[in-house]
Amino acid sequence: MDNVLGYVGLGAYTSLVIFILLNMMLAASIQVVMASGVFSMASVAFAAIGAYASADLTKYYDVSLGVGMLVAVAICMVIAPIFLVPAQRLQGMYLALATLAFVLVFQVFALNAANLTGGALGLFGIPILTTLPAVFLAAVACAYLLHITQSSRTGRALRTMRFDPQLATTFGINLLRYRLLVLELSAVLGAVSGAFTAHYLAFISPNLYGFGAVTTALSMAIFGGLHFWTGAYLGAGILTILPQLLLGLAGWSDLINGALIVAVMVFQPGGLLVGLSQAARFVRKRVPALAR
Amino acid sequence: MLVLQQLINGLILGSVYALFAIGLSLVWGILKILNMAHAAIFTWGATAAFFLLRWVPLPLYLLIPAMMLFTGLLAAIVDFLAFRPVRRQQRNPDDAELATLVTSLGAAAVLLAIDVKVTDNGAVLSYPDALFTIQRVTIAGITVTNLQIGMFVLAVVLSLSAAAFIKWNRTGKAMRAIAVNPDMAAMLGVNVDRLTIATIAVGGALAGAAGVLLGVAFHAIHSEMGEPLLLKAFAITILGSAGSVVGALVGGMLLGVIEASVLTFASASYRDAVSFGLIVVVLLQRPKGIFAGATGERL
Repeated sequence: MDNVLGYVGLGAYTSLVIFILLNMMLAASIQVVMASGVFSMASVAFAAIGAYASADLTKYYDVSLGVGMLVAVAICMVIAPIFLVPAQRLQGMYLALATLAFVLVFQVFALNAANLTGGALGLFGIPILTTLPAVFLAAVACAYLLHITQSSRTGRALRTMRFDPQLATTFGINLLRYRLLVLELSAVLGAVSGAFTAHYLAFISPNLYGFGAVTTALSMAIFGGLHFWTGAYLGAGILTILPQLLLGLAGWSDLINGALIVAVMVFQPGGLLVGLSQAARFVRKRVPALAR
Repeated sequence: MLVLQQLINGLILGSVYALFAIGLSLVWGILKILNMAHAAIFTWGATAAFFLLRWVPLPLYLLIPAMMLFTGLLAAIVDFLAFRPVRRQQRNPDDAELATLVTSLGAAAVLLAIDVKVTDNGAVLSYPDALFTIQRVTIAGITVTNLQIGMFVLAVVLSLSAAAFIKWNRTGKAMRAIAVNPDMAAMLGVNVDRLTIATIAVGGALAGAAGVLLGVAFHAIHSEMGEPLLLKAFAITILGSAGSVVGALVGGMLLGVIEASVLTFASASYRDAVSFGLIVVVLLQRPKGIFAGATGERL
């Protein structure tokens, strides 16, 4: 089962595909809150907590991946409501910085709580339990969860909330409830992504969950387009593949990566998804056979 | 006495943090841009000074203005090439904020990649010793170096002149008008594009000065030197209210002193948690910062 891609001669890409799927869930974890006007960067902390929780449980208590994952998700879901405190009071970049600060505080905690996290050296020997089918199923399940949340009455409520919180309130949208909903969803996505990552890399360290991780996940979500979950999946896909494609250009890959992000933002500030839907509309208009 | 010594060291280091943070704070408060490339511009200042010194052995007092000119120009170019087109495209201010944030991340990646390339894959460099001879002065049991005194004085003078410029100069007043309402400012004849570039350039210039100073103070220049400072600058900006130069100066010194106290009384491993903890506490208790005022709405 593990070597699904191997059967079609693409075994070499297994690791890349797994990373794409993991990043998709992490990017979606940021997208789901950002798209509702809750600028939370806590996803990276959720990923870290999920990773350490599941890694510790499977490593020291010999539980299965499923149990480790469930506990990781449960812990993050218990922690998520904490973020309602800043989310109810702060907006925009201020909320982003408050949650970023939480991520970094957690990183310092991970550096110092050596008996739980292995400290700065990291946690070694995490059982490798992540398989491509498992991650794929998880990513599909997350996509389903995101889809029913975002393309429904709830989704419209969330978009209204981002567009104008006051307006949302006058429509009878309970901001607290919906903010809790998206934070919980963000926690689940982050925890699942984090736990799978830990069980794939077999090694995690606090370095993986710092400022760099926040900026990467954020770029993926916004690069793809924030307004719908597909944007996060698209952005994560492209920004995970791109550095691999540029690997031959040793050293310049970061530059091209950065320049591409700037270029997309300059020409398509709403994200790639907006560009794609515009292109689709353009094609539909020009090609009569496709016109509806 | 040791405690006092540590606090003084913290205060001086904090004044250079402030020099860096002012650019971030101004650009955030006035232009609503959270400029992640600020750290890269700072690093470029430090690195470029290294290469300039190889070419012409300038004394420190000429090197700093030269680098300020360079990083100011660099920041202006970043705005011209990256931020301005994004601003033009995006009408909704929230979306523009996010789009410029990601653009600045991209710009930072480009600048840092080049920095890593030119410094032999991110090697740690240091300025020649001849650049500055350090002498110690002991006053009432407190030892400070001439470099520390210079850093402190320069940081305070530069920040206060920036503050005075924004408060009293006509152009500075126009900047504050942009902070309150860019459209109204434009209607009243303020050239918003030009002032935006000017604001970013001033911030970049101050960051360049901070880059050279910290490069000299730590005997080390490397491409990663900006990131921890960027995180500190977030805390300083929050503490001192975005857009307030004096706030950033006081906030920077405060952060320096607090970090030094944590270092003295607790453990070095928790020092970094201080600035992050400060962000959370200040945002929840006094979200407008300690120096709210000067510029428009903040939340």
